Amino acid sequence: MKSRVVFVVGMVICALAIRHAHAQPADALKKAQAAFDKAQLDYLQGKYDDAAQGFVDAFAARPFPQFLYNAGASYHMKGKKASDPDAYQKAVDAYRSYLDKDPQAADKAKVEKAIGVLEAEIKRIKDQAGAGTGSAGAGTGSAGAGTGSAGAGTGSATPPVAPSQEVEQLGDARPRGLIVVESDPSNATIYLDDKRKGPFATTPWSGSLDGDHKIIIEKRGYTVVERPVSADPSKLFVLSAAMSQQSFLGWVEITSNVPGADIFIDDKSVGAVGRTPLSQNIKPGKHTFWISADGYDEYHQEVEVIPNETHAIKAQLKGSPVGKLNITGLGIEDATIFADGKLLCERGPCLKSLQQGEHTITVTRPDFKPYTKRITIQAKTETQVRITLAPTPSRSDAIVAYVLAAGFGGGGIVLGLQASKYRDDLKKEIAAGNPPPDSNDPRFTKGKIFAIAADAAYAVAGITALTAVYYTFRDKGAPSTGLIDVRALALRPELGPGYAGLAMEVSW
Amino acid sequence: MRTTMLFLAAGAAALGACKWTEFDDLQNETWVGSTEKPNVKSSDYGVAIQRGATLPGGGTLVVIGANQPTYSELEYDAKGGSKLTANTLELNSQYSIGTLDAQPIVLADPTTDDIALIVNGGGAQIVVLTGAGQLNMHNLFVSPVSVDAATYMKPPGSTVDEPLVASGDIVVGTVYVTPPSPTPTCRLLDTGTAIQPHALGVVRTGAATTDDVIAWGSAGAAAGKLYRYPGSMFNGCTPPAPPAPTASHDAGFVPGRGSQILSIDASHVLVQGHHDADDASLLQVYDANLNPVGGSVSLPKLRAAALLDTGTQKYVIAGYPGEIPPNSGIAAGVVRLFKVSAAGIESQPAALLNDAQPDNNESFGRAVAAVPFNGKPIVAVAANNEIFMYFRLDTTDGTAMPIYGETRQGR
Repeated sequence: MKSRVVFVVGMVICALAIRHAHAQPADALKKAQAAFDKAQLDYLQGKYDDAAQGFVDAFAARPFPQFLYNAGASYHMKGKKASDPDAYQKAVDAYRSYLDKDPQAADKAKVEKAIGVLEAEIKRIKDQAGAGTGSAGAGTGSAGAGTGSAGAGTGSATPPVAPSQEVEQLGDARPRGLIVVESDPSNATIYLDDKRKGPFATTPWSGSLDGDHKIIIEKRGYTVVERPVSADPSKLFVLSAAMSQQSFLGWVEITSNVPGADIFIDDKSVGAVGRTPLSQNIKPGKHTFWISADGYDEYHQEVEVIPNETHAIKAQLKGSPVGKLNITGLGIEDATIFADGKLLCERGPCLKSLQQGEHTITVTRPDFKPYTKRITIQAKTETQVRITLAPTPSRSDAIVAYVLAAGFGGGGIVLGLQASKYRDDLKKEIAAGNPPPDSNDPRFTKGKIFAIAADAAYAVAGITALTAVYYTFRDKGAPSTGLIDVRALALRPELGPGYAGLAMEVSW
Repeated sequence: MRTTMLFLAAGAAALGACKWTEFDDLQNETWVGSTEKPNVKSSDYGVAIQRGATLPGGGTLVVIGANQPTYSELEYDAKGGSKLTANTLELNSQYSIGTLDAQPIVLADPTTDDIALIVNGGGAQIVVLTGAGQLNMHNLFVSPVSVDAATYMKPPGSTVDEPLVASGDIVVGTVYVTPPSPTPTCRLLDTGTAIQPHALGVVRTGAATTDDVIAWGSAGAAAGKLYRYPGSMFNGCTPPAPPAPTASHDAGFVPGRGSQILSIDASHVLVQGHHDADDASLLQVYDANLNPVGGSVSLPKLRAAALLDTGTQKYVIAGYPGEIPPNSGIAAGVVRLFKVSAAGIESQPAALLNDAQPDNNESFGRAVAAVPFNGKPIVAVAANNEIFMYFRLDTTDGTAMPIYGETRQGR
């Protein structure tokens, strides 16, 4: 309920802002910029009242809440420099106005904390001033010490009270630069850097950004505008996009019951083009949309896009009994991970969803023993396997055994051939009888010795070969190991002030 | 790929495979039995061989060993297996025969299984050991002692053959069990000159008559001449009238010791002469009147000879122990078989035997014999410390005809 209220309030503010932005003439922006620039200069010169006034003037010209924050920051610094409770009070007021104007401010918590600290500081200063006056009994008036505006002529002014430790911890309050994104027509969707991150805001928008970014502005029926921005904390940067109409394009609005689901259009291999919710122009014709999210079955729909028409794709993703598999380990970046014989990740670390059930996980790395383990993946759990791959042991013993086997085998062949030669010669000579060998012919003994030696060599070669085969395939040395850790994943819908989505708890 | 390699390895192994038991089978298939020196004390075994007693199955071979002289017998079973019999005689301890002649004379009785070993007994006596298995000793007292030649002959008035021994210029027989003293001797002269025979043989003129003696002279004018003397000399000649030869012929070859005169039949002899000095040799057939028949064979290095009678053909087994076998280059020795008959000796051998794996100085053919084996005569050849028995034999003259077929039983 609270989010709905916030949403309605936001929409009202947005509508007011749009209407106001449309109402502002072009010179209003120039006036705001001039006041902003002068205020920045005054701040740097320590003219905090002038700086604050400049930012207020800028807000009057263009009501960007950030101007109010900057005014507050100027008063904040004035108060800090002189321990001026009045300045602190003005800072508190400006900060509150800022939060009133931008209730969804990203730095809301920080600003609220600053308000609290400054209010305590005001009270502390006043308490100390009261105590000082009482003890002096000089009747110097009611002005606080150091204000410079009262009791100055007494000649006995109270020295300024040093900022409290809490104030010091807040640091210096500095004015922020401001980026303003406007479009004509307004109410266009703003994406920051990549559409896959999802919508960032709608035009007009103002706020602060750090670093370099790409602003993508998209509106149904209009050409997409992309601009790079480089945030300058001391400047007011205004991006005005004049969007040209494209009547030949169609418009798709893709939503899913699971926010942040990946959207693929026509070709999955190019990767996700964005995340739900997504609205964008698209060329007319037949298109295929896939919407997927971890833990859910993939949604698939084909749409015939018609020019200048809106096509709504509402993906209902059904939960699938999947769990996460997270393969990590030393040197895993050079390893390839397979699940059930299919490539899961070309390189580690590998975090993938797998269907609930048993899977054979194999991790291979050149020159290392593969790790294979049958792992049961449970739904809504993350099974983390920390792999320690053992180096593949040297096979020199197998090579030596093969060489020996070959040697003995070769020797056996040579000896056997020699024995065969003796046998054949003797056979021939016995048959021919010219001259006939006698029963004590030494070739009988030699041939027998060669034959026995050949048989022995074959036997040794066979044993050695078997040993070599064993050496080749035996699992020598410590095996590759994996430390399996299963963590429960709990996804639940979560609604909060200004946000909605899935929350996850991790425990192990 | 692995399968292919496996098949290649198996094929190579099959090529080289050879069961060692095949050699045992092959050894049984050989038709030349070889027996190395058995357990006898002689270190020079087989200096002389002769056929032994005839057995109903198999056969017996007498083998004489030198360097610790021994008499031993190898008994061959009907399948060709051999073993040393138990009647080995150590000649030194039993007969005081310390040294044998270089080529001891062992004769085979032509009518019985007896053999006669004739050796120099020293002390002015020649020892003649006769018998079959069990030997009887005869002492022939002569001086000086020299065993130059010997032969079996049928003496006058005897029904059995007895050895006749030539020593120097006399011959002496062993007809007496207890010879008278002095032993009756006879000098063989040619016109008053001692012929000093180095070979003796006989011409058997009839079964009931005394054999005439053929002597091959080696001295003086008789050197190289063959003489035929009447058999009466066996009982000693009546001095002073020694018998005159009834026939003579100059063979043109002076025989050395160990030469032989072998009877081919009743009217033909084969003379085998050799002398060690120049390795000259002679094989020649003569008739009873000492006329040469046919051509001669004079291949050098002949040392021993024996007659082989297969029943259809006679051969002379001629041993050439210093000869180089074909394709060997080693002086291991060969044995040649020449056909002999009343028509003479063939000039080309019918068979050439040698050790298939010859060793240098093996002296294959240093002694030869024809041995009855399973009732058939087979060739026996002696080499240094090894005896070869040819249980079947083919000609090697290109015809490859069997000289005799398989003689072993169970083949």
